Amino acid sequence: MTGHRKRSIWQALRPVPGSGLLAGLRDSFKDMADFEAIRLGEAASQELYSCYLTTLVGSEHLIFALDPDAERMDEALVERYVGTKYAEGDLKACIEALCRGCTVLCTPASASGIILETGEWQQRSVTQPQSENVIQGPMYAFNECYHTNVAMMRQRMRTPKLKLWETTVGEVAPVQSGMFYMEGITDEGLVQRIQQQFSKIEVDGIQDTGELLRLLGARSVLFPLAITTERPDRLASSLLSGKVVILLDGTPRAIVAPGAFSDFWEAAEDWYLMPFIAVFLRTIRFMALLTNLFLPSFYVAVTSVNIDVNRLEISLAAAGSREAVPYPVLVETLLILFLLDCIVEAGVRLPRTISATVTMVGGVVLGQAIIQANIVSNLLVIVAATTALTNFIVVDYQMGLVQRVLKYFVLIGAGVLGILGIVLSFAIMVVFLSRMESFGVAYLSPAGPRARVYAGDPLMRFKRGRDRHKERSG
Amino acid sequence: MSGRALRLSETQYVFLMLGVFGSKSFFLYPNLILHTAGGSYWMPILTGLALGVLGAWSFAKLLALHPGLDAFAVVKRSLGWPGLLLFALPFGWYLWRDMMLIARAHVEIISMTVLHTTPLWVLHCIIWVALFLAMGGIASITRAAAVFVVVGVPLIVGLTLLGLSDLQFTLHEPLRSSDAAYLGSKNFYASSYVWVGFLYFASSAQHARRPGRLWRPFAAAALCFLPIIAGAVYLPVLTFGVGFSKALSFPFLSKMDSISHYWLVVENLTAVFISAAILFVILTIGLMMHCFVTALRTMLPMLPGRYAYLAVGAGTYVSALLIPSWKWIENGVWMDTPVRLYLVLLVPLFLLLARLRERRSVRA
Amino acid sequence: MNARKPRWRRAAALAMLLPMALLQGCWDIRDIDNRMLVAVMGFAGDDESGVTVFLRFPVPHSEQEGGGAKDFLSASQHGATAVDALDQLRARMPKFLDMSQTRAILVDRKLAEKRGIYDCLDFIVRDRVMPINAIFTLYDGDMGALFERPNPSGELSGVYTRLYFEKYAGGTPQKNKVTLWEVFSRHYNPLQQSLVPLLVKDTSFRFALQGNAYFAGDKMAGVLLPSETLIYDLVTGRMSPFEIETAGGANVKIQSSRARIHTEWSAGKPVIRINVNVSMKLMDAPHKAVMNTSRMQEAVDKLLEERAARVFAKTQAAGSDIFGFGNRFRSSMPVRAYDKWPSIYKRASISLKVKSHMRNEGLKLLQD
Repeated sequence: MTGHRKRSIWQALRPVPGSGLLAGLRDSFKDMADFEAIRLGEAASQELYSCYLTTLVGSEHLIFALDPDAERMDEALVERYVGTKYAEGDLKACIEALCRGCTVLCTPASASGIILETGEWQQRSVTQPQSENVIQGPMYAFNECYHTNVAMMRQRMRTPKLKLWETTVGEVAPVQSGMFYMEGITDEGLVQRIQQQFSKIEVDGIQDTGELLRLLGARSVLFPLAITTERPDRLASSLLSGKVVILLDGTPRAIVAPGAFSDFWEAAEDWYLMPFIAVFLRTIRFMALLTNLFLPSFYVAVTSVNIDVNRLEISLAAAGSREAVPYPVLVETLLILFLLDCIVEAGVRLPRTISATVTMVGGVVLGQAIIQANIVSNLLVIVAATTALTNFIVVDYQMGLVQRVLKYFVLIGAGVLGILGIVLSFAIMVVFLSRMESFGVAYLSPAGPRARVYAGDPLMRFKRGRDRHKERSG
Repeated sequence: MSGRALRLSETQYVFLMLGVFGSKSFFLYPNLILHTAGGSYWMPILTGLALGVLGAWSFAKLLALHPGLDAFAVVKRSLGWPGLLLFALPFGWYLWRDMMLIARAHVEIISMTVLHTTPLWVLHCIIWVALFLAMGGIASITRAAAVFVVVGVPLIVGLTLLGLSDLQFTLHEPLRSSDAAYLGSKNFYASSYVWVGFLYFASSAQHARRPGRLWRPFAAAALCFLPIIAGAVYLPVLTFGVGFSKALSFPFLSKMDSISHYWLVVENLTAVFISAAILFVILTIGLMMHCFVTALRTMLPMLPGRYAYLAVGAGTYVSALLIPSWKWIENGVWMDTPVRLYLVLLVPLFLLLARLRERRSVRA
Repeated sequence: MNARKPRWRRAAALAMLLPMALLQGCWDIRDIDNRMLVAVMGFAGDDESGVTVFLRFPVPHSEQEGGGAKDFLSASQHGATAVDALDQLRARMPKFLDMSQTRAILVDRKLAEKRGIYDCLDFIVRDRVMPINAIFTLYDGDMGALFERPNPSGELSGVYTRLYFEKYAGGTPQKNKVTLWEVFSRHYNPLQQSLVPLLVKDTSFRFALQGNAYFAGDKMAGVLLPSETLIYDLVTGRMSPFEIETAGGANVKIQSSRARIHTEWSAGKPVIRINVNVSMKLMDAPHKAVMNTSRMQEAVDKLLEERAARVFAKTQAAGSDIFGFGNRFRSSMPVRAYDKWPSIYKRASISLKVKSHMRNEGLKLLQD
């Protein structure tokens, strides 16, 4: 604290008649066991208090000096402050700051106090991504601490063009949220649009970006409207392609907006591999999507309505394996798919050691028993297993859940109209998607109008690079 | 996304048109062409194509009179209310008839080939899907068109390529002096329904960068689809011979049935064909509904859009259900021919009138 | 607007549930185990009235039961027409009669000779209950016994008929695979007649090839021997490699052939000249006879030409243009004269010249 600064900051503590910051703080934080207001001594002819929540502040930020001149040995004054910033604030700001883990220096008669950043954040260390593992590429991921996450983004993109806009969400328990965008690359309209949507949010508190995504006006009952990711590299590449990244304190997942259906099939790794391999992998994922959605329904269609679509040999094999099964094909399929979803769900929620047992019991024991009991046919078990397998190929967890639901929709279509029903449910899904928008961009991009505006288009990125090159040379 | 900002590229118009061709060129067209007088089927096909492009060109010129407006608004502004009534009423009538004929024809095909006992009222649910699509507006239709065309056209092209098996070129009909007789044939004029797809640009033309060039997407789509249309007519002829092809209601479908290869996984190619066709039908009916409602709302601006759509959907559904027989569909296509030709021929006339009027107003 | 949104969404959710309600009307839903899939169908009709339909259903086996049981079921039914017979059969059957995967159709020779084949097949085109790419053959003998007899090679009996005609089954040039749609298209085309394989009972396998029946109009007119079918294959370009024995006792394998057909009218009758180029390979040469390549080629030429002359004479006598020469006269005939083609064909002068060419002599030279 240099001399000039010292004088000006201590002015915050000058007494204002009729106001009592300390009393106000004590009142607000009454019944809170971890609140402490310690009298430090006298400064500027006032009693100086230091207020903080003991659970939030770290011990290294403030260093006290026991006043050598005082007769009473319990008096102490701040000798050194170690922290990133300090500010002056009124009662409301002080309350908010205390909740964040700051320390407030105040006097009983002052109207405002000095806020010192002394918080010590409880956080996980930066570890490998939990849900988006790659073999090749950066190996670290966000944690739940907003500041750490912002820092990681800053470390990754060292440019003043990376702008950060901050706000808090929540009336009762506010949570800090921030939006990154690239100046000159991101569409201004998109930024303004999201800022407006933030201002419209009315909610008591918020826990995760999934919740935030819904609150940001993305009205969708089924499909996730934007990708959430915990990988800084993925966010950086999205930012460079003109998207906006929204971070929320307390969650490792950040929103990449806008999102399109095709984005959900891109893994982070795709950009780091050779193009042909990336295309191959994406094709596999897409085939897996189709298999997952349509295979059970195709089985139903082929064994109950459009028998003549497959070979006589296969038909006979299916008939043979179904011979003793008492239920209609549709019921049989619904039954095993339900069972399968139960096994998957059980495996997700349980600790890893137990989930292996569940998979064992569910998959192997039950699978074998259900065939022997003639409740479902052999062929269907193959179909169901393939369906389950392909469901895990999905890159995005949210989209995987959507698929699990949609499978039943297609299944019922097939149960009524066979192959035609599958086609119709496909058409309905496409129509449904074609009507959706994510933050002003068509969800089916790059199909249809405004495809070019959709900046996530890899072709566009290439083009922009080429244009830049042209500008430089010409 | 606001309508003002919406811009459709020419490729997107091509996609829309491909969908329209996909839904129109299979159900009656091969039969009509096979039953025109004369044996050179390429002549009516190419004549139809040429006339279609000509019609599209004059229609595009009409749209270019006031860029940024849809066809109905253009007519209203150029010719006033009487012109609008003369244009929009027959247009609406034609759209309505076309929607129900296409829907019903495909439902009949499905009923005859894949689902023999499913009642028609269930199969007609494709109309509701199309309605759902139309209600999303032209942006939604274009997006769906891209997906449907990307899925459907490769299937149709694949089927056409598969159709190249078992061809016997000695079966083709020779060129004869009497071949121009198709011009006097009723079926030739009835078959013109395939080539008037450009009329459905009426409600989406305002989104084009240059509406005057909208004939180009039509021509491009028509040329892309020409091999497939020609295949639909010629593949059965070159496989079965003219006699058997003429005796069949859907020569192309029977041709699909006749294909058999040991390596072909799917035994029933008709099901594949119908799957692709249904996607196109949904797209086309959606586009037509959008046109219809645009026409309605130009005439009755206070009409709330959602209810207009629901009414149109319900109307189409009921009228398609009420069609009694396949013969009726064949007759229907023929009966609509005067209206169709009126719409296509009237457009240049409109154009002329509007030009004259402009000149007069410039002079005054 | 916002107040109406939830209601709208609720309506949409209800609309999504609507397909559930449709489930109770399972119109076209018949589970595969409730169907009996027809693999082979036969038509016979000795007497003047009515048709007897024979059906053969493969019986699916579930794994637990194991083999041993009879793997097919056959049924027959007499009726006024084919459709009538099938209707009566349906009344007797415990499961749904599904003909959508029929692989082959056999028609009794006598029926084909006396009454024609088209009448009992018309329903297939009309209703699409059966694939029109099923194999079509004639059968000479007791149809009932054929359908009752287990398949010696043991696999799915229905598929057998189809595999019998596949290229890799061997003997293809004589077998001449014909599908149902080919029969239909010939029926509507007066310029070309069908040539359909004629099968008989075989001692060790299911059936043997007796020859190929040529049709005049709707009725069977006569039989080409298997060896004569080679000419048909040469002319129509359906050739697949196959062996013949020359006059000198040597065996050659015909690898490929190419036919050039020239047609014209001369003095009111059609003249058809066919030049066939044959490329062949020596398979087996006897030691005693002194042969050289050119003599062998001449022998093959002569052999094939003589055989061709026999075939043309046979078919011309019946007015059965199985080669589809008539199609080549399409442009030079008025449409109304098409129907007269069978009688014109009887007067046609047909000549076939073979020019064979020995491509190689195998791994061993001819003269060693």
